[in-house]
Amino acid sequence: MTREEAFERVNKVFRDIFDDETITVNDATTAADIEDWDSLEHINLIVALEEEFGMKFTMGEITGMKDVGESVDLILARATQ
Amino acid sequence: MSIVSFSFFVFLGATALLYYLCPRRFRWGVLLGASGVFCILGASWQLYLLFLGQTLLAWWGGVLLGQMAPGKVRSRVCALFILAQLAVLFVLKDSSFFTNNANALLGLTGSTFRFPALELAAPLGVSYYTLMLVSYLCDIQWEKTEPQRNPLKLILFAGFFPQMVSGPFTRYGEIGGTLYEGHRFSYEEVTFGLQRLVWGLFKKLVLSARLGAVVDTVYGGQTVPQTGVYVLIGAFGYVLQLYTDFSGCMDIVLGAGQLFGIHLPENFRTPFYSVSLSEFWRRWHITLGAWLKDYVMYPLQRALTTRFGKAAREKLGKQRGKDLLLYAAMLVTWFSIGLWHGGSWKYIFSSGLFFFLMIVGGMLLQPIFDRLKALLRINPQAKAWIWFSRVRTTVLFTLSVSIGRSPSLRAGVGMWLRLFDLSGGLPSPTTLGLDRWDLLVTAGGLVLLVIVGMLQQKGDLREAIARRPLPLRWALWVLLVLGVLVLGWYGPGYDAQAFIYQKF
Repeated sequence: MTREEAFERVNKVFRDIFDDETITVNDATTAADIEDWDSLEHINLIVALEEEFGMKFTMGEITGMKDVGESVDLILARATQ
Repeated sequence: MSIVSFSFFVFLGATALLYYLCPRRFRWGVLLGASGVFCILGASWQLYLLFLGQTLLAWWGGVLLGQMAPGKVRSRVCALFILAQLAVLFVLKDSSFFTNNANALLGLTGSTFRFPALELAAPLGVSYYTLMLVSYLCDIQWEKTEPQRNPLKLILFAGFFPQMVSGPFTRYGEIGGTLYEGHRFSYEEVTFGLQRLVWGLFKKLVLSARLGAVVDTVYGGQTVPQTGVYVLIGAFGYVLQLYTDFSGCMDIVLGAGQLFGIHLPENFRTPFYSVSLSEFWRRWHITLGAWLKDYVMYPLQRALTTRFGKAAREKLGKQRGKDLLLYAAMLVTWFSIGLWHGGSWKYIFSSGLFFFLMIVGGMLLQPIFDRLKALLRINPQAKAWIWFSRVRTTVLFTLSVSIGRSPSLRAGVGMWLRLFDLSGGLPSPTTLGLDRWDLLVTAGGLVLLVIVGMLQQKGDLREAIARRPLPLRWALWVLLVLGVLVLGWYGPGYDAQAFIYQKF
């Protein structure tokens, strides 16, 4: 899976979770950029990402993600393991 | 040894002296030794043994988890170690709640069997250090932190003496390093620490002690009726007493930590300025709320969403399905907050479920509130609306938390139901357990508290004072010390041993 492919799939998950077809995430996107992205919605987002990519994150990884770029890095690292 | 007693300050001074006289790499050893002495002298050697047992068990668990590869086996081992910690807390603090309720249910079924009640005195600090050890184990399991190889260092983490009795809750990954580092002597740190300590003493000895006398008079119900205005005086007095007592205690604890160059996390951020109940709980006993969010709420919400998310979405629709699982996680979290305060329905309701109902109710009714606000043309940014929201939040908080002061949930609710019974008339100042002078001191102290709170909204007050000319800032601090010495209240009913939050 390339980084672009990962981003495309992550973007799909974001649009679905936040019900907003205009969302386009990039490396630097953070919770501050998306109105409904609070700590409670964060958990829903992570579970949806786990479902999409068929992987599990630790709670440490979940609470430690600073931006979308970091989550994509984590997904790619996990996918090659 | 109470942290407002003279012996504590002698002990604190002696420890600080020894700390700075020792070579830096041994300084954490001084804190470790002092913490042991504090626990044994202040409570008992039995408590210290229990504490050591629990901490060594967590240390062993941490080392074991560190050697295992991630996977199901490691999760189960971690769960076992956590259960062992929680079992101690449960048996010591909450078992009576479950035996009482089980026995009540058995009574309804006509059975004569009864569970024996365990009459155990919960040892000081067990609610605090147990949860810190649980978070330590979770953080290792979640790979947020590395296990501590040295058991003595973990003992210092869980039992650092200023915070052992009433918190704040600290996380090993955040505080560990600074406990062991051996800080250089800094004039600024030591003076700031002392200043904070004196402010804490002011809150506790000048304000909380006097408010306590009023609250005891009203809730005692011997000399005044528990109706009408008295209900309000008792309830608001209790919340103010709780705040000055607990936040004063935190000022002393954080100030004592700062004497050693150690910055413990804040537990209060002027909570009465909150515009909603959920914000209130983010500014009142902050480290407990954060602990429950990280170690109960989020893991539970995640587990529920992973397991039932799909089914809930299909059955109830996307948004409602999501919300339902969130409410379930919130219910367990608020129940836990209540249970942590004590194993009885009055705490579970007044510090837990009431807030669950209010917050979830608020979320459900949000569309209606939004429409009403639009209809009434309310500007949520307007000063008047913000102040209205603050008052409403404080009133709701008081309405519920004050029930914790009554002997039972029924008695607490009953007291509020008598609010509109005005037969008791108006109180005269001297029937409230304080004379005119004490009432004046209390009122003046509360005004000072409000002013300090307002100034704190703008930034660190001690830093602002430190920038003032020398004579002015010294005059201010000397005045505060004199204030505590002269106005500190040791009147009837005063007990130097008792901080309300020690009981929890």
